[in-house]
Amino acid sequence: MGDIHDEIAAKLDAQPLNVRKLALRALELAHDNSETAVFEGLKNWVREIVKAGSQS
Amino acid sequence: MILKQITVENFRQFRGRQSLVFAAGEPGKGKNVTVILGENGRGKTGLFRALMFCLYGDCSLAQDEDTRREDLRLVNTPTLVEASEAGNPVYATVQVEFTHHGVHYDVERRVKGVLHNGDHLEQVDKAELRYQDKNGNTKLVDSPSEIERTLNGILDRRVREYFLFDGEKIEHLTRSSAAQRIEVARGIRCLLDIDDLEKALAALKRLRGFLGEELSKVSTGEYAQVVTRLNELQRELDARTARLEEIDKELLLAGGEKKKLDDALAANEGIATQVAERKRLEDAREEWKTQANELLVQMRDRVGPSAVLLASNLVERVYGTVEDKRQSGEIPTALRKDLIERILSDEKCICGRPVTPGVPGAFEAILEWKNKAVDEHIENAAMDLWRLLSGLLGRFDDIRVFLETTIQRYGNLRNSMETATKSIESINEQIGGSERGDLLDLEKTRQLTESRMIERKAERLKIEDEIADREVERSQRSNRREQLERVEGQKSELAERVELALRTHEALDNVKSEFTSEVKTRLSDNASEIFSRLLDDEGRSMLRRIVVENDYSLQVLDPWDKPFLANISAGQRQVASISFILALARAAAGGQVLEMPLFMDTPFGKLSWQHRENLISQIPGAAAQWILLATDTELGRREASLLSRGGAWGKFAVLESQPDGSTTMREYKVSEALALLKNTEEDA
Repeated sequence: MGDIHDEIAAKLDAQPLNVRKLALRALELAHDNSETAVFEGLKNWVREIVKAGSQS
Repeated sequence: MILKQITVENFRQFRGRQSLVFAAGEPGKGKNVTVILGENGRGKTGLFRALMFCLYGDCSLAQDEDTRREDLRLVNTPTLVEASEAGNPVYATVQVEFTHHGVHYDVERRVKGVLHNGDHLEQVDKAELRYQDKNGNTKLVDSPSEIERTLNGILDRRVREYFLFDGEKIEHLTRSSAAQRIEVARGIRCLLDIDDLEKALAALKRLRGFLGEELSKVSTGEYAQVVTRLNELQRELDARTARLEEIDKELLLAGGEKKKLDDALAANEGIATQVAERKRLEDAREEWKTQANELLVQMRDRVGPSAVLLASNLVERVYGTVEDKRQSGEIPTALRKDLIERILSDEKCICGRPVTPGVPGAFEAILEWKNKAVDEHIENAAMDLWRLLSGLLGRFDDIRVFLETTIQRYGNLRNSMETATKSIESINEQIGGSERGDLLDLEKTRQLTESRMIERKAERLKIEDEIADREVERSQRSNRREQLERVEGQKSELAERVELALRTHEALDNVKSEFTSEVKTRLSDNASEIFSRLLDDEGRSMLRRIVVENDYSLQVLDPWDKPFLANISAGQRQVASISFILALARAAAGGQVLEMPLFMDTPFGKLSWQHRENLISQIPGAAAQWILLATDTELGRREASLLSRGGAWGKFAVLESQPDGSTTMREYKVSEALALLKNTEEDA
């Protein structure tokens, strides 16, 4: 089943780095968490990504 | 999931405690085929029932739908009768051991049975799951909901019938109702991990909404208004998109309901012909409607070019004038100038007359012609116009012919649709005029269902328009927001987060559409390829391809790509279903062999010899494990020889009848099978 995740990840290759980071994080969290847990996890993650982007 | 062993105790026909070990070698290399042979009534289905009970807690099977639960007995009756004389209960137990991704699982369920005042009463009283965690520690789970969650994570109950099934009934995959298809589609999405993608998308949508609201709260002025409206628009779009999905499901269910009602009505001889004719007319009308809509789209695409027809008279007049001037040599000037210069220098006209100063008439006339100056730009424009009009005039006829024939075809389709509608109404009246109350009730329900479908379709169109309007407004507001952000000089960090959540959701949504469409194509291609290998020669000549529809139901196409499912035999349906299951397993395993058994009760009953031969030679390499519960009439010496030659047959057991009516599972060596088996009909 991991192969299918890899396939989805490959389809995100053309996306900007931050979009790819957030999408892959969402997929990773979704594998064994509830939707609410994924949402809560992403709230922090999106902040981190934007912060890192503005600092670089 | 690879099944290792099943143990039954006082379950159905199986008295006392008995175990059966399954062949579990690697597909294509080891021995992964188990054959369990039993005459009808010896407990083949009992064993299948034991597996479903143990893994999923199912006390009844799909085939028991006409039997009341209290009439279904899982506890062995003779044992219960004996025990009840001493006032004791009897426990029927099933234990299944299997491995999944290297972890060993052991599931056990138990039913307690008592005889009370002559009534056979049963109650499930124990369910346990044991497995070894990553550190090698044995975990015990005894909560039924937790057991269900764990086992669903291994083989989702919604797709269990794809792997553990009654061979003769598996053809239902090609006949299942709309409601079942929705449920199965969910299961398949889970098997293919598309549900993870959907969960990620739902969380991103929530994140996008949450951050949008946050941004709206901290913004001021026009920016706040734009952001607030963008949030509203997103909510409205989400609500409408969700409603469209609901409508599609409702339409699918209503379509299934209507089909059932038609089948019930068609079962009545007096109106069967009318019902069939109405169905034919409705299908034709739907097809004509699709064609008419396609013509409308084509006409809309040609509206731009066709508009020029409105000015055709003017265009023809202008073209004529320019063409006259060109023919008379007035334009282009450069040509005219060259000619005059040549005449004047040669002092001779092209007709031979002398043109020299002093010769009256000709010389003055040529000079006057030369002096008739035409502005070069105007002349170039006139020549461009001439070229343009010349091309345009050539297309007038094409456009005219296209419009005339398309309008004619559209009109014919509309007429056919109207005629069909009148005929349908007339049939409705005939059926509605029946004196039989039961038929009237069916017909009334059918009409209500159809009205509901028409309402839903109209609602769908309205919502699609609303979505299109809102998308236009969203794009305008987004542009305005970006303008305002540029004026501000920088985007706030929160606005960056909103933007990122929005873009990520969009990107992943596109990935989902692309991925699901690719999965369906892949499933169709794989299923078709397997289908052609499993079909017999007759089937291969009649059937070309399996297509997996949007709702994951199956269609079979003939060599001319026309739907042919309704005309194929039960055996071919069974082969189509098995092809789909193997394709699904391959897709779920990313092109490898999925770690799932094919547990088939009555695998060959409806199949021709060539179908059996193909299945026996193909399945052991295509499935991780194959367990066959067969009668000696469907699995004889011929089938056994073939299976044996393939080298994957590892275990053989026979369900043997005992004098007290119970069944014993007795294991034999595979090499002993040929001596025990009969010749099948084809051999005899």
